[in-house]
Amino acid sequence: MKESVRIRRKQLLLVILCLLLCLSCGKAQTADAAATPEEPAAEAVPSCAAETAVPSPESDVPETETPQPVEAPTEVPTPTPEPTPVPVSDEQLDEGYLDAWFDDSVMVGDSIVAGLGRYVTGERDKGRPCLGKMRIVGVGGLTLRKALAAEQKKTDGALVFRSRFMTVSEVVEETQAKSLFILVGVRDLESYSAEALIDAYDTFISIIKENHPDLRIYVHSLMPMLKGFSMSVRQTADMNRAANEKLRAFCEEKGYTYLELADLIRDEEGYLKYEYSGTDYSFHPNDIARAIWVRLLRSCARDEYYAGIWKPEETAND
Amino acid sequence: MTKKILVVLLAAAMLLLVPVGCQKAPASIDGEALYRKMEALGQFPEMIHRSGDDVYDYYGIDPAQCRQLVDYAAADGLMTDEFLLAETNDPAYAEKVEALLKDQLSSLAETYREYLPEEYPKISGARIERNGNYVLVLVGEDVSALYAIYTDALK
Repeated sequence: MKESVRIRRKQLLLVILCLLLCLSCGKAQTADAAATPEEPAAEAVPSCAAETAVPSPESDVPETETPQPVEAPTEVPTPTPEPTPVPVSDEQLDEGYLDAWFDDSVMVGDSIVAGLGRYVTGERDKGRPCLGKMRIVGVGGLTLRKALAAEQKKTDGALVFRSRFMTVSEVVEETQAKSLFILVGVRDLESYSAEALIDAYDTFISIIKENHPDLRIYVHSLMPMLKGFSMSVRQTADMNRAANEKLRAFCEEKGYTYLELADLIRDEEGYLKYEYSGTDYSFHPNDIARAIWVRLLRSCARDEYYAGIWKPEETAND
Repeated sequence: MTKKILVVLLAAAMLLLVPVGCQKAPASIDGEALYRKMEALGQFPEMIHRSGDDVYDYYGIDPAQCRQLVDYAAADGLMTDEFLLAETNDPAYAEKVEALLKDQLSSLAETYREYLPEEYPKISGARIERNGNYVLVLVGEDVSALYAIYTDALK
């Protein structure tokens, strides 16, 4: 009798164990993978980075489902879904929503850059955010040839910053910049071929990168000229376009970001649009064109944000 | 006779030293108010105001060593018009600021001689002056008219 009772108890225990096992093998629901971001709707603001898939500001960003908790203990932790970038509208962009991206950057170049510097200073002084804390160092008459000679220590520094002559590398060092924007070379085409210009750019940036290996480089297209002025210096719109194509290809090969400013302010013939010209009527843009330029720079910030290269809180935490 | 000579010499020395001893320190100048008076003359083009940090980046003048630092420059980057008034904390720094500005503006003038010759007369005619702790820079079409307003402010 006792033996049979023992056997029954054992059988009962076995049954209970089996039942418990079955219960713990219930499938947990897993989160659906985040939906692939849609291709962007047509935007007025040009992108500085080609073919970046971005969420459309108009569409809903699909929410990820939180996994349902399981009753039985499990060793596998619930994965936290990667946050997706919050869509930034053109209006937010123009209000400086992503301007913190420029805080660790410096722009260097010729009088075109000097003019942008004045424009940005004026905007900031009026209480309008403009390119964060970006420093802008432009020198009238600067050519790529002069800037390169200075980097090669053949001459004194080609830029004047804090009352000292400095090379571009030295300005980067002085400002502790993490990103460098360059606009120079439009006058060099008068004496360089496009190929020689690209070679000079290659040497110039290589020296700077040797001094600052982690520096992110952004190169502007060469500025188009007003038709009348370009005739006087024998630099046609076609020459300008051809040089810019080579500059774009060079940047893509080297992994630098190419900023296509020229195409945003050309007329149908490829020259600087008259309504975008400064009062010298050569190749300096006016404030209308500078506003377009600032928008281009801001769209670059948005592209890098969407691509996950930069997050606004990264600059805030620095 | 010796006494008479001594008295005459003493009197002459006093006459010479009195103007030196009576040199007045400049009156306190409000840089912003001074600029507004000059702006009212109408010769400046559209100007932008540079902050202390901007002036530091541009000229290397340390705002922390100045009681006031007021700088307005032509909004059009190709034009050289400028008003700058620095009131330093001490005369030694004022001397340094004067030297910095003279160097920079002279260098800028040389650049503009070839780069933009039409601005060269203006930039090469810049007035840079130090009075006590004040250092003034004026670049404009008619610097003497601007300067007259400054000398009035010094009285």
